[in-house]
Amino acid sequence: MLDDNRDFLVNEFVKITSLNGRYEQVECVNWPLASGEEKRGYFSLVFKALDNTTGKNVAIKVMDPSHLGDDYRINCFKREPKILTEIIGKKRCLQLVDEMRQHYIKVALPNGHQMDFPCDYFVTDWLDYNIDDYFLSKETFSSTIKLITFRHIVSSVEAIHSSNIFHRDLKPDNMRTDSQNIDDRFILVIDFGTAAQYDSGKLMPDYGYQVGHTMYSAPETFLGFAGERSIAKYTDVYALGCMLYELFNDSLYFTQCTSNANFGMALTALGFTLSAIPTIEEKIKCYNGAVGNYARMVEPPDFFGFNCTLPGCISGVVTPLYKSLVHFDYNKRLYNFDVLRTRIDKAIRALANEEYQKRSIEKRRIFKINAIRKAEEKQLRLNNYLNSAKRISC
Amino acid sequence: MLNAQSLSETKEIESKQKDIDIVVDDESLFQISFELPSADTIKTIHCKPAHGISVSEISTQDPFNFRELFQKEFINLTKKHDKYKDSSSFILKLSGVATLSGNIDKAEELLSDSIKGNDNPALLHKLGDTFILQGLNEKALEVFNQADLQADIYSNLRLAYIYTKQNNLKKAFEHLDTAQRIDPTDFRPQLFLGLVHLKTGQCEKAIRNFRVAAATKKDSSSLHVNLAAAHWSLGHTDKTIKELKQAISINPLNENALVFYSDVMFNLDYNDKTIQPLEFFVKLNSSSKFAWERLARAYYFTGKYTKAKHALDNLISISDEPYTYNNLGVVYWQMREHKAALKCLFEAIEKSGDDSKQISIPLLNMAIILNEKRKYQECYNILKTYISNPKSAADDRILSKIEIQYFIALEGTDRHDIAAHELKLFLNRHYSDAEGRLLLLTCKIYSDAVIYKNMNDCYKFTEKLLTVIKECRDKIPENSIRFAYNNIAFNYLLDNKVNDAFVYINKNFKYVYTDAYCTATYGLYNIKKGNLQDGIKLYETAISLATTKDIKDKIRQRLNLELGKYALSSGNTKEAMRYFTKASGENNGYKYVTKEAIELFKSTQQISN
Repeated sequence: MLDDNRDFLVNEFVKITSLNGRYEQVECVNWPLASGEEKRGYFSLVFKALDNTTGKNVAIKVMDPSHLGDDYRINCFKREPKILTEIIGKKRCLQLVDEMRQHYIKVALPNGHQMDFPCDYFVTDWLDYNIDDYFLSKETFSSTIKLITFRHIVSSVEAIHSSNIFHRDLKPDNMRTDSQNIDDRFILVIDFGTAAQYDSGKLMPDYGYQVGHTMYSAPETFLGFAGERSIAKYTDVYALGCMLYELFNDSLYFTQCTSNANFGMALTALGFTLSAIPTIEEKIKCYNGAVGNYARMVEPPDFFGFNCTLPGCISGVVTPLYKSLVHFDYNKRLYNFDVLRTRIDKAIRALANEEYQKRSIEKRRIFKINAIRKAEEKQLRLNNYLNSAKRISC
Repeated sequence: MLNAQSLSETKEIESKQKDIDIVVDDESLFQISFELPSADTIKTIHCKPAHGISVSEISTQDPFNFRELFQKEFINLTKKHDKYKDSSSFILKLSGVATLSGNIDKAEELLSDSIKGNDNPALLHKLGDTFILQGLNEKALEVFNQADLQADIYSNLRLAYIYTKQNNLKKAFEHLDTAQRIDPTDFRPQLFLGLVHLKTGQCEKAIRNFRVAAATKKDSSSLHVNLAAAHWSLGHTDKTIKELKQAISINPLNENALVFYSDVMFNLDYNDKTIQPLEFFVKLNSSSKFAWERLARAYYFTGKYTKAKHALDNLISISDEPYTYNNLGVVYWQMREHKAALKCLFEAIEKSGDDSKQISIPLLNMAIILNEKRKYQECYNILKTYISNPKSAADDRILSKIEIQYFIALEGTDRHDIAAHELKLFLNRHYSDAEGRLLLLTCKIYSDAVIYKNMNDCYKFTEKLLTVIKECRDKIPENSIRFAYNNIAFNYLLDNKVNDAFVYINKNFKYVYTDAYCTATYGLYNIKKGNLQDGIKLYETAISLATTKDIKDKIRQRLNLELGKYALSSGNTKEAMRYFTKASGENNGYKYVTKEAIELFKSTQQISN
C-alpha cells in the first residue's frame, strides 16, 4: 500500500514537463528499487531535474508519502531547507536552489471526484559524482590522494559546523563532489535530513532512537544521546575517524569495531547504568562519570589491522589522529578542525618529502632490527636459564 | 581450649571453583581458549600440564542488533558489486559485511570468485576464515596452505589454530615457530605460543611470550590474565596480583580476571581489596554466580555479615545449590541468628540428597553449632550415621573436622570410653590430607592432657603431630599449625613444663595480642612463671579479642581456675576458693574445667577446715 503511494507520486512528478515553470526532465533517483534493494533516504523521494534558468541539474526532494503520518519525519523534512538556508552562499556547502514549495497533484477519490493533494518539495544543487572509489577501490589511489580526499571531507564538515550545523549522518554515501579532478573540486556533504542546529529545539523531546546510519555512528548515539545538540559535534567527528580508517583498510570500521565483544558489552553496561536515570541532563552527567571505566575495554580497531595501505612513515601522525577521532569517550575526541587539518597536511607533506620518507623508513628498519635482536637475546637468555635449571635439577 | 578454638576455626564457607579461561585474544572472531584449573588448584599443582584441555570458539554477542545493521549494509554494498567487483578492497569489505550479516555462503562465493583473478593474500585469508567459521577445517587448511608460508604470518597462525583445535600440538608448534621466525616482535604468534606453552606447563616460556606480546598489545585484558596464570603457576604472587589488577583495570567486566583475582586475594587473606571491583561487576552482571559467591565470601571474611547475607540471597535467586544454603547458614551463625542458621544448614543437607561429599560441610557446620549450643545429644544423633558410613566421600580435612565434632559430642554426653575408642580409630585411618591428620592429632593430645590426664600418651602423640608439621608444613594452612602449637604449649603448661611450653609459645608469638587463644596461653605461661599481673592482663586482652561471648566465658573460666590454683599455691585458701567458685559457676564454661574447679574447691575447703 505504501509502495503504491510512492509509485503514484513518482509517476505524477516524472510526468511534469516543467515544475514551477523552471525544472524540467524530472526523473526519480531512489524509487522504484531493484529487487532486494533498500530505499536510500529516510524521508524523501529524490528527483533529478534540469533547471532551465541556469542550465544546471538540480535535486528535488519530495516528502516520502509513506511517512506522512509520522510527525517526526515530517518535521525533519521541513527542517532540512531551513537548515540549508543557514549555509546559503557558504563555501564547501550544499546550496539550496529553491526553498520549500508545494506542488499540487490530483488524486482520484473513491466517489469519483478529484482533489488537489499538496506535495512539499525543495530544490538543491545536483552533484554528479560520489566518492565511493576512494573507499571501495582503495588500491587504485595513492595515500596522498586519499589524504587529500580526507582533507576535503574534513573541510566540508568544518564548513557546516562553522554555521553551528551538525549533520549526524556522515558517511561516504552522503558525500558528493562536483568534479572528478582532485585539484579543482570540492567534496560537499549532502542529505541534511537528520542534521540539527546547535541552538534549535528538539523536534521531539524524548527522541532517543538512532539518528543517522549506524555503521558510522558513535557509541553514545546507541545510548539515547542521538538528539543531544551538545554531543552532536563529537558524533560527526567520530564518523570522520571511521572514514579515515576505511580509506586505508580493507574492512569497514564498524565490522572491526564490533568484532571486539567488549564493544557490545561496554555499551550494554553503560545502557544499563543509564536506564535508571530519569532526565537527559543527569544521564549525560552519569555517562561522563562512568564511561572512563569502559573506555580502555574498547580501544579502537588497530589502524594497521586489516591490510592497511598507509605508508609506515606517516603512521606516527595518522594513527594518533585516528585514535583521537574515534575515542569511545566523546569528551576525549579531537574537536579542533585547525589541528585536524594541520595533521593531515603534515602527513601529506611527509609523503611528498622523499628525503623524509627515506629517513623514516630507515629509522623504522633500524628500530625493527633492534626489537628483533632484543627479543632474540631475551629468548636466548631464557633458554640458557631453563637449560641450566634443568641441569641442576638432574 | 580445643572445643572453643575448633569452633571458631572450622566454620566452612564454600565457593565453587572456576577454571581460569586462557584465551588468545579479545578481539578476533576466532578465539582459542582452554581452561587452567582454578587459582586454588594451581597453587597446589605448581605448573603441571593443564588438565581437560578444551578448545572453544567464543561467539560474538549481538545486544544492539548489529546483525540487522550489517544486513542493510550488505544490501547497500551489493548494489555496487558490478562496479567494484574487480577491487579486492571492495570484495573484502563486502564479504566482511556478508559474514557478519549471516550471509556466509555469499561471502564464500564472492571470495572464491575473486581469488581466481587476484593474488591478494588477504582474499585467501578471508576465504580461509570463512571456512573456519563454517567448521570446514579441512577446506580451511587447504586454503591457508596455498599461501606463502615462509612470509605469511596470518596463514601460519590460522593453520596453528586449526591444528590446536585438532589437538595436533606438534603441527601447531611448527607453524607458530615459522610465524615467530618471520617476525619475532609480532604479538600474535607470541600470544599464541604463550598459550601453548602454558597449556603444556612451560610457564617460564609462556611468560616470555606473553611479555613480548604485551609490549605491543597493551590493551588486552586476557593477555594479562594469561600472564597472571603463568606467574601464579610459578608461585609469583606479587606479579600475579599486578597482572590481574591490570587486566581488571583494562576490562572491569572481565569475569574470568575478577574471579581469578578474588581467589588469589582470598588465598592471601586480602578479601577487602576484592569488594569494590566485585560490587561494580555484579551491579552490571547480576546473574554471575561466580561473582556473587566471591563477593559474599569477601564480605564474610571482612566481617560484613549483613552484606554477605544479601549477596547470598541474590545468589540463591539465581542458583539454588546446597552449598549456597550452607554459606548462608554460616553467615546467620555469625549474625547470632542460630535458628535461621540451623534452618539453612538443614536446607543444604536436604538439597544435597545422597551426595555424602556435599552433605559433609553443612553437616560439619551444623555439628559445630549444636556443640556450641551444648546440644551434644542432637549433635551425636546427626553425626552417628554419617561417621559409621564407611563410604563417606568427604574430603579428609572435612571428615577429620566432623570426627572432632563427633568426639566433642561423645564427651559432652559423657560417653568417655566410646570417645577415646573412636578417637583411636580415627587416628588409625589413613589420611591423605595432612591438615586433617594434624587436627585429629591435636584433638588427641588435648584430650589426653586435659580430659584423661594421660601425659604419656599426650607426649607420644605430640611427637607424631610435630612430625606431621615438619613433613607437610607447606600443605597445612597457617591457622591449623598455630592451633596445633598452641595446644602443645597449653598441654606443657598444664604439666608445669614451662620451658618446654615456651618453645611453642615462641613459635606462635606473632599471634599474641591478635589471637585470643595464643594470648590466653601466653597469659597462662606468665601466671605459671609467677608474673601474675602480666598473666591477668594477657588473659583480659584475650577475653577482649574473643569474638563471641561463649569463648569469652570459657577463657574467663580458665583464668579463674588458674588464679585459684595460684592463690592456693600461695597459701591463700580463701582467695583460692573464691576463684574456684567463680570457675565452677561459669554456665558457658568447659565441663571438665568446672569439674576440676569443684574438686579443687572441695580439697581447698578441707585444707582450710
